[in-house]
Amino acid sequence: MTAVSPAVELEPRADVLHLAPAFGIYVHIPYCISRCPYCDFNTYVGIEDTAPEYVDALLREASSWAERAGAREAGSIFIGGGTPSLLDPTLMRKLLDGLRATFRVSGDAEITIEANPETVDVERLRGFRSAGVNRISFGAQSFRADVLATLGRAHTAERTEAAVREARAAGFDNLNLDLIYGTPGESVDDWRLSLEKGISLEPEHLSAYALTIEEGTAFGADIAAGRMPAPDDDDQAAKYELALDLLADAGYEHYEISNWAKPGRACRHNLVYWTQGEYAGLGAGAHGHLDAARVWNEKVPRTYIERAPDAQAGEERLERAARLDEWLQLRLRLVGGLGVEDAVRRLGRDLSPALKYLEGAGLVTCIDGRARLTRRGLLLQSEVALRMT
Amino acid sequence: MPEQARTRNFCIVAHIDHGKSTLADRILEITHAVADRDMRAQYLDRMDLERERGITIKAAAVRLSYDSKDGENYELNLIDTPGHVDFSYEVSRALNACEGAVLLVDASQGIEAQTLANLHLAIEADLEVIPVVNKIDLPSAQPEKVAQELQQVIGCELEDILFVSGKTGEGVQALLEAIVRRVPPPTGDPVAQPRGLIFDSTYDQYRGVIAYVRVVDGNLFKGQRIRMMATGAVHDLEEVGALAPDPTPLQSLGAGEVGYFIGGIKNIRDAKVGDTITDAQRPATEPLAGYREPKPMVYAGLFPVAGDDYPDLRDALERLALNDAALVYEPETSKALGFGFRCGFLGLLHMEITRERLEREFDLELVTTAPNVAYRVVLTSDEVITVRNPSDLPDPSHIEKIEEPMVSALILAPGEYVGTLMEMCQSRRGILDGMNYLSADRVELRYRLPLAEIIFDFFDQLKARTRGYASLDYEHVGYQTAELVRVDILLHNDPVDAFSAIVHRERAYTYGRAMVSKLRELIPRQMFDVPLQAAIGSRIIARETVKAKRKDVLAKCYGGDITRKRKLLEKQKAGKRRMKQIGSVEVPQEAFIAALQVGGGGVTDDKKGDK
Repeated sequence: MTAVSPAVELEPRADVLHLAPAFGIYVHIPYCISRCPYCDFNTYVGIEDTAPEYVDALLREASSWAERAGAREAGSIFIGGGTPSLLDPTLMRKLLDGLRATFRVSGDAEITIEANPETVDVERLRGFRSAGVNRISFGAQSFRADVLATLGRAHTAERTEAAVREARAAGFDNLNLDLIYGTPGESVDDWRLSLEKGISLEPEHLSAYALTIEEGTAFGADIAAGRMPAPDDDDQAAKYELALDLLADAGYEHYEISNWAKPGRACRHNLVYWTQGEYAGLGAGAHGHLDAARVWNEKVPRTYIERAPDAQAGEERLERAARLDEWLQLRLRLVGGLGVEDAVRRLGRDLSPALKYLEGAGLVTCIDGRARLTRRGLLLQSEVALRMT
Repeated sequence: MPEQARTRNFCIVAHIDHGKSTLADRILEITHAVADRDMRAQYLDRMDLERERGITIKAAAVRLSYDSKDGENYELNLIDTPGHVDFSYEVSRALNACEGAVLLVDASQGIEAQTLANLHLAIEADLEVIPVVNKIDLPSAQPEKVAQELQQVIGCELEDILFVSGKTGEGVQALLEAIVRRVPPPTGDPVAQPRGLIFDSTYDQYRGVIAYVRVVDGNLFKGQRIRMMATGAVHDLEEVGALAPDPTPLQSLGAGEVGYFIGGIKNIRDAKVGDTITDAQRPATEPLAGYREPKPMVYAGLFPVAGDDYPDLRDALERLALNDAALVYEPETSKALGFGFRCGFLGLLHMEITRERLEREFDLELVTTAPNVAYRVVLTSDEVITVRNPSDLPDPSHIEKIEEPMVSALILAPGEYVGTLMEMCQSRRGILDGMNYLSADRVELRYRLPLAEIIFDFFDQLKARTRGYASLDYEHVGYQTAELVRVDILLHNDPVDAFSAIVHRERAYTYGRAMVSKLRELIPRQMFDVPLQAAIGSRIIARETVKAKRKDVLAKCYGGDITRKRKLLEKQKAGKRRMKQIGSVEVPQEAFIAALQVGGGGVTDDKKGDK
């Protein structure tokens, strides 16, 4: 157990709770040009021609959700995928107009789409922008050609740089880059270069995700068969720490395990998730959360289109205690700290034995009534969540 | 002709797969013991089941009625023998209940070590041995070659050897005639004080112990008050009878006869194999020779994974011991594993059977420590103690010497494997006692080996190195002084008693290194560095570190699928619960049998064989 002095390892972190909307809308677009070998998301290749029908189905489902949401006002709309940027801007406009007509959407709502660099040009981006999209998130993943090749990405590093310039030209002033670290074959210097390149493009927001191997993906099969080495925990830990350092130096605030933002630019929609907030989940395989029920939809787009608006495939309602544990587990993802007194009141149980253990293990530090993850604790967040629940 | 003159008691000595059951089927047919419509393949094997009378029986002895060509009707008793080296004492008792033995050998495979060992037991018991070559119908059969081998090992005439096919029935009639002609009738005194040899027993939930008996003198009858001469237990006989092959109650069993008795005996320890039954009112003065307490040879700790299950484990062991006279156990407390039992077994198979029954029949989840033998330790005070648990070994400064149990092992294998087998036995501290060619390409090797060296993976290695052709049998031959030391394993600087092992001094270093490196693989990374050390006394002989876990965080949450994230955490939590907490370290169950995987001693030497 190595205790590191708090002064060394706590960099400034944003307290972002005030940015979290109480309600948001998630829309799933299940189309991709090609399947990335690490991806286990609900996405399909070569069925983009169903898009018009699909958007109609989304709007049918929107009416149904809006009815249940009642007076709730959406502070965010997040259009994820798949590759939402494959949707034609006119369809995007139809979708967003439809959502605004059915739900109560706040005037300054954050409206994000995910985009792959190879699917956009300045004209298309202008179309999205004028449809009402005010935040764009590019799946950059890496700025090294060989790493992009391993990840099976359809774009080059140069295309990503161009896409960022095009987005700026189209009027996007809130932009995110997604990066992946720990790809087999990626060196620490490769990762450093990707981070530095990403920072140099001056996005308002950066996400850095450790490559995670999922069952049922091409990578999963390659690793099981010994054709590819599994990602190495120590390597990923070192790269995460590098991200912590470089992003802090560049003026990004770390607000969630995998997310950094310029002050005030934390992704509001993501904050809905980490604060156990409510959200409508529209589309094939989409998840929603309303009135203490978590629900999810039919995954296959064709079936979804046929069934919408009654496309629900499952539901989960947790016992009160489990729900409180869930709150804590989610809340611990936000690295700005947990008000211990408030948490104890909410949970109705003593947290001090767990905190004492975690402090002793150097995973958590408690200052002024706030429990914060240390640098080590960030990397062992699951352990912290398990010990506290 | 008097009763006894028309009785023949015999057994079939055979290796597994050499066709004993099929031959028994043909014998049942010829003697009309089973109506044709009831006949099914391997009839006797299937009798180990609940039958309609509600008694659990096993075909320990089947009575057959045979009309011989000499015009007489004979009562043939076919006595079964257990088939595993763990149970060689039981085999010797079954042989003692007979006057003759059919030595059955597969015409394509030749004699196997265990068969040879049992043959020696039969010869020692003064039985008439009838050598039989079976499966002569097979295309691969080499009856002449196998016959020569038999001639060599028995020292009989070639014309004494019979050739049969249990499958087609060829030669079976001639075999029955040979049994009548060559096996001598029993010669007990029908009017003396009764004496019967218990050669097997089984346990029925409702009737208690069902004991199989060979009456030597006098007779046993329903209602008789009997006494066991070794244990002193007294019971009233509720039922006596014979298996024909279904259980058939009889008025009495006379001298020379074989059958079963039931006497409301609730604990199998009251009717142990090898004991002599006599009449309580008119007892015999001398018991039959050869009784011996069942003696466990292998010990291991059994611990419940969940500490709460301790009382259930205790009850389960009590129940099992009712029908397993060889199972011994005593409470044990381990610093690492908590409350459990140190159990003694006849051998590894016996241990596996017991563990499996505990888990299956009693629904227990158990941690088994690596098995070890019992050591005789002579202290400097001249006191002699038995150490059944390595962690009980006294401080070396108090030890004068340590003696370990030895076995005489018999290995039969094709000649081409002699080199690899000798190398393997020598690496396990074996001393060659003798080597003998049974035929041009079949060799008998006799080795004197420490029992500790063969209880781990000896048999598996033997099979692996000879492509399955070698066979093994062994018998216990007392104790021998050896240079033994205890290797302790320290986890996070604390010795874990459950990991301690007694090994030969020359092997200690290799063993310690293999153990810590195996444990390093098996113990997941914790939140802190976990040093693993192997030590003899205070001297560290090997060291590894399970590096602290650096990363354990779920990178992202996809599209608001919180349910999936929560389930992943729950899965992690459940994984933690399945681990045994030792100090501050979480250790998975598999780690406790790591020693089984690294072997008891010849670790690195054995690796050569894998290349």
